[in-house]
Amino acid sequence: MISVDKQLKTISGSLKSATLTVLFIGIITIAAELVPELKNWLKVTFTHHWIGKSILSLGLFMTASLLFSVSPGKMDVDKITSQLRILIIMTVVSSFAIIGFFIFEAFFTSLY
Amino acid sequence: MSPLLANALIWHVLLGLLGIIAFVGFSLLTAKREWNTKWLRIYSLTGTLAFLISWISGGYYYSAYYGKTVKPLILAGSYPWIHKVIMETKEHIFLFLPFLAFVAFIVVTGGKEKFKNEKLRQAITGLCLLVITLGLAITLSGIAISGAVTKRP
Repeated sequence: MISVDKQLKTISGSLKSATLTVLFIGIITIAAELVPELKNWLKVTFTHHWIGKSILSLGLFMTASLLFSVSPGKMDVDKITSQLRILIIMTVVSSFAIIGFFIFEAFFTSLY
Repeated sequence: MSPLLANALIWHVLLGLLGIIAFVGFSLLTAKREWNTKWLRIYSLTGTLAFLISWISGGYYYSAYYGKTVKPLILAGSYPWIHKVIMETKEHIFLFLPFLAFVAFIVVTGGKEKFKNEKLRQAITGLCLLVITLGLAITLSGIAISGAVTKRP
């Protein structure tokens, strides 16, 4: 039987790593469009840039979940709630960053 | 398009829809006063697995076929922004779903005591609604993308 504290730390670990992952996806998506060398590296290393982003995201999530879940400190339900809210907010921010970037790139960069 | 690619696309769509439906079921359960954690786990695990397999299936179709064959048709058609904005957004925002779904599953595992906290319940419901919203946006994007494909003359 896993202790309540261990359960909450596992939940917290996955919440923090999911937040990190959604931010990473947003950043690498935009960065790969702005830096052709990055996109090319992803393509060469993983056969396709999107496959590379998928694999790196998965690797980041799994590694970060493990590390966060064993980090010191006590966990409680209020902290879990805050972390959930932060995950929701960061997902929305990352989503708008992605769509905003592609709208800008499609309709406004041709002006330059 | 080979039968394998056709199946990859079809299963990508069907499993994506299954994932959304699973989280609609999840959201209906969170609307109740007393949470049935067993079914919350079943729905969220179903959604997670559905999104995971949809990720692989759609990823295969996208990397093996879409870029070489479908994308040029959309870019040459009347609505090139459908690829430049809608598809580009869709393919990256989709990556959020398996992680969000998995987190929802992890959060509802373990002891029931924590669900007495009303703020936590609201936050879990919020996460579920976010998954549904993103899923529906991705579905509508897929419909727009399919509609933008024009045949070669």
